[in-house]
Amino acid sequence: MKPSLFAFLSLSAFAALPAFSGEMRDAPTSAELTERLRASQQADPMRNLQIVDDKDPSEASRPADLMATSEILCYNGLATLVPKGSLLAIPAHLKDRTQFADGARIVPWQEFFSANRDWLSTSEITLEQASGTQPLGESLVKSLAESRVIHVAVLQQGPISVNPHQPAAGPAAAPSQP
Amino acid sequence: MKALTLTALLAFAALPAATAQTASYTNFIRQTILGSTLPVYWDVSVASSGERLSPTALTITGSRYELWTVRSTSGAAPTSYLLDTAFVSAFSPSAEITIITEDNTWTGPVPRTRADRPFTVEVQVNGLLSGATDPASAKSVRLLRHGQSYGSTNGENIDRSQASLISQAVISSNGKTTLSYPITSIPGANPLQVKGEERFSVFTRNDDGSDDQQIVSRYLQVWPVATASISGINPGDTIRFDAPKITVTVNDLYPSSYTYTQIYKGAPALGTVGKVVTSAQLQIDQAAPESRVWVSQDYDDLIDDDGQWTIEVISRTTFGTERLAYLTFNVNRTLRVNSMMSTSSGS
Repeated sequence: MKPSLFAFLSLSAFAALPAFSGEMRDAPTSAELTERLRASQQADPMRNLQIVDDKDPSEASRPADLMATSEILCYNGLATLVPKGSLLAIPAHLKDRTQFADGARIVPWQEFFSANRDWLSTSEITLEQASGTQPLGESLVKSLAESRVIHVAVLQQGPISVNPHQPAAGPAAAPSQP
Repeated sequence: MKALTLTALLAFAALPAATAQTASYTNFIRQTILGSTLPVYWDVSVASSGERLSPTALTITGSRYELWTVRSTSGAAPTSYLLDTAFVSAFSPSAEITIITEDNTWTGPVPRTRADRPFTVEVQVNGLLSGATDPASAKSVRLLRHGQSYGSTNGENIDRSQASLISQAVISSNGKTTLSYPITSIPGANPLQVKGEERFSVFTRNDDGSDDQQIVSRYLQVWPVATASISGINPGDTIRFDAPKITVTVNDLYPSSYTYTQIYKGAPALGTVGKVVTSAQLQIDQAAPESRVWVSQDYDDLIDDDGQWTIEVISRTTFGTERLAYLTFNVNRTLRVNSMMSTSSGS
């Protein structure tokens, strides 16, 4: 019998698989696997460490969904995501550009910003201002109030959320002398 | 200052992009800067692959880096998928996890294996301290093993918050810990048909009531053991004329495999090389298992003699060559004419 073209292509495309060595076995059965699973669980190698029965820490530290923690900027078929709290100024006439429009393609922030500089601006802030331990500068606050474009807070060009300013508590008063 | 290289995170991002067909995917790395005040969320721009250094120094309280991909398709709201997270701080231990399987044909970002095959997990921990005055969070880490079945899917849109914690242990010394598992522990009624993923992760171990943070996590995909059946002819049947159509059903063929039906003269004997039934074979090299039904009659062309014949379904994978199903039947096509000759003579 002549080898078929299909058979030839099969062999050439499957170079990644090891060649048939002549050794063949029957596929395992469910009963065999059940027994091996039981033995495996009894010999759990993690038992060689200090097993603990604490609460699953992954439940508490699971990140919230990105869409739920982001603001959307969308215009002209493109959209991007920035952290909630990073939009410092949203003029009323541009509010619709913070809504996702069906069919828009999500792109990275830098690509979106480059395409929309006529109505989008950034304000470079410090990490201390973002965390709220220092206030935003007075001139920035004033320009935001009068802004005709959407302002995004950035740190080293990356959008960053800004917490409300919370002045650090002053030193505790010294106890009075008796 | 510690610099965080995002290589591993970005490499993981290639998965959905590679499997996407009509949808587009965009990756985001979001850094959550933890502190005594409210956390700060900061986006680090990323390309679809590559690496870059974190642009700021790490804080004592640390940062969590999350790698997300956002899927956008026409007519649907964008959907985000968390691909990986890493926690780094100035004084926290560091860790890396490597999962080693027998499937060295697969070059995807998530290692994979089969439900009956062993695998090894290597956990490398560095930076643990042991001084009397060192904080508890710097003295040990948690190692977690989770398992999650894909159910009837191949893992699309999986909600990883539903994964089951299989076991949790504490590592209190620096160095490599090697864990060898003979088989997966992903839950399932039939261990042959288990498909899903295992997740190994290292978390901080705080004692001040604050949430423990994930330092690193790695996934392992587990696919079922293939099964097959042959119907349309019963074991021991005798074929006298044309061979009947047979139906070969194969389920859960390993994503990279060559499965074929062969026939040979004689009783079943493992390792026999027979003639391949052309209409009942399949080779695949993809990301998920495959099932097929073949209706074949061309095996009749391969029967060239009377006697006992065996038909088998064989699957070849990186784990070896295995017989999934077989049956024997008889062929008796020799025409025998029984006649009696007599002569008669007239008287």
